[in-house]
Amino acid sequence: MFEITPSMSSGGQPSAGGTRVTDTRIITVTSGKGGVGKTTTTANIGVALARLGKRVVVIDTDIGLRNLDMMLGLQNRIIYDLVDLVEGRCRMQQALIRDRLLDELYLLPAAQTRGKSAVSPADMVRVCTQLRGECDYVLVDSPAGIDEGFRNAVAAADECLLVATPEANSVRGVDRVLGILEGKRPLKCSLIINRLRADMVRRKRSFSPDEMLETLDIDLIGIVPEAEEVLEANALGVPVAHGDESLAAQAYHNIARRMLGEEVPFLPLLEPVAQRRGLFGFLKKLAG
Amino acid sequence: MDNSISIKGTRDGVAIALGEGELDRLSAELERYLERQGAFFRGGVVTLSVGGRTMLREDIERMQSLLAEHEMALRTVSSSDDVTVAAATELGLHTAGAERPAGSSDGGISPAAAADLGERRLEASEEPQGVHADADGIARAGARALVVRRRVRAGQTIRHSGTVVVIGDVNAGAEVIAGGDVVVWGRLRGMVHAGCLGNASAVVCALDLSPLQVRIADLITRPEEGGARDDSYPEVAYVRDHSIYVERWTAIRWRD
Repeated sequence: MFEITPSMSSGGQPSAGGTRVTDTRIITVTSGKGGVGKTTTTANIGVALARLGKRVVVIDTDIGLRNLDMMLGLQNRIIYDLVDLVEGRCRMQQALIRDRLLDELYLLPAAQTRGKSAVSPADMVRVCTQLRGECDYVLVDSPAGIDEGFRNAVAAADECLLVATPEANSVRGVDRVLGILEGKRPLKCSLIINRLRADMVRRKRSFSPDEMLETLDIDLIGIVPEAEEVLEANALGVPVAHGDESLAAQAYHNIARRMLGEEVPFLPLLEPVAQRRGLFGFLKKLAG
Repeated sequence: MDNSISIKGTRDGVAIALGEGELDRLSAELERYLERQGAFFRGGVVTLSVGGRTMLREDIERMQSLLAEHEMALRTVSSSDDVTVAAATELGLHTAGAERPAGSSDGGISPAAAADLGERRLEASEEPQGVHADADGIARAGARALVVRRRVRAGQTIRHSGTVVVIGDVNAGAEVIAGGDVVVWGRLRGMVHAGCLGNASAVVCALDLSPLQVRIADLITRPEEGGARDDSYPEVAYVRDHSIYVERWTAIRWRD
C-alpha cells in the first residue's frame, strides 16, 4: 500500500492560488490493454481524492481520442488543451478547467485534433513540474498501448496505478507494462482490479484477485466491482464516486483513502451473498 | 559441405566466419542456417570474419541485408584483404584485421565437428572443452549458466547460449531461449526453448511446468489446453524418439 506522507496537507483546504503543497504526488493510471477502465478509474479517483479535500489535477494524455473531459462532463468548457500548453499558446491557469461540482478538482484536457507526437516525454515532465507545489495529486490518464502515448504518460510519474480486469489478456497487458517500467527508473506500482464479477470468479470463468496477484506480484490498492452505475454515471458526466451508495463508489473512496495512507479493509465482494446481507444491509440490492 | 561457415554467440555479439568457397553458396548456407536457428541470434550485433577473401561493396551489402532480414545488424568486418576492408569502411562499418576467431582454425569448423554443429559452435565461444556428460550421463552445453533471479514478465526475453536458470516465475507472454537446459525454480507459464541451436539432449524443468509452448531443439509441443491444474508439482520436459515428453520429476529416470 501507499505509505503515509506526513508532510501532506491532510484534509486541509488550500485556497486557490494560496498555500503551496510541499509534496505533490504525480500518479499515472495505465494498463497496457485498452478498454479496461483507465479513464473511468482516473475520473473516479480524482473525484474521490477531491472529496477528501485534496487538490487534484487530472491530465488526459490520450491526444486525439480525449474522453476524460466527457466523463467529468466538462467537454463544453474546453478552450485550451495540453498541446496548446506545451506549444506555448496558453498558460497553465488558462488550460486547467475547474470541475463543475468539486472546487479542488481540475482537468487538463487532451487535444482532439492532434497526434500523439504533438507531446514529448520531456514536455510531460515540464508540465508536471509546473504543477508540483500547486496541488496534492496529479493523476495522469494514459492512453492504451505501450508506445509513444504511454511513454509520455509515465515520463513524469512518481507512482503508477495499474488497472486490470480479471481476464488473461488484461493481466498480460499489465505484466507487460510492469516489465517495461522495471527497465526504467524504479516506480512504485499498485494494482487496481476493475470490473470484478464475483459470480464469474465463483464459476472459475474469470481470475480471482489472488490469481492476478500471483502473476503480477505487486501491491493491491483496490478492487472495483462490475456495476452498471459506473457506466450510467460516465454517460451523465458525473462519475459514480460523487455518490456514496453504490459498491463501486465505495470501492473508489476506499482506494483514495488507501492512497492517503489509511488502512481500509477491502469490500467483501467475493463472500457468499447471504453472509454479506447480514453484515451490510445496503448490499441487498446487489444480491440478485 | 556445411563446414565453411561458423556462427557463435559471444559476449560481444554474434561472430560469423566465412570459410573457403563461393560467396553465393556460403550466403545460401548462412541463410538456411539462420532460417533454422536465427531466432536465437535475433537482435544480435554481428562481426563478420572473412579471412583473406576479397569482398566488394555489394558483396558486403548482400550479407548485411541477409542478416537484417533475420534482425541482426552487421557492425564489424574482419579481413586481411585491403579491398574488403576499404569496402566495409565505405559502408560505415567497423573493420578489423584478420583475427582468427577463437576455437577454429580458419573461421570454419572441422569436418569432425560438423555432425554436432549447434553445440560445438556455441562451445567454442565460451569454454573449449566441448560437450561432456556428467556423472549421471546428462549431456550439457559447456557455456556458462545464466542465473536470472527475478520474475520474467510478459514481453521480456531471456536469451543465452548456455543453460538458463530462473529463480522466479516466467509469466505468460515471456520467453526464455537457451542453448542449453532451462531450469525454472518457480512457475513456468511463458514460452521456453531449450537446446535452441539443435541440442536435443537439453531439458526444461520447472516447479510448475505449464507453459504456453515448450521447444527443445527443433521440436515444439503445446501442453494440453484445459486451464490451470489445481495441484502443481515439479516436471521435466525432454526429447525421446523425436518427441517431447513431459513427466513428473519423481518419475524421471535419466538414461535407460
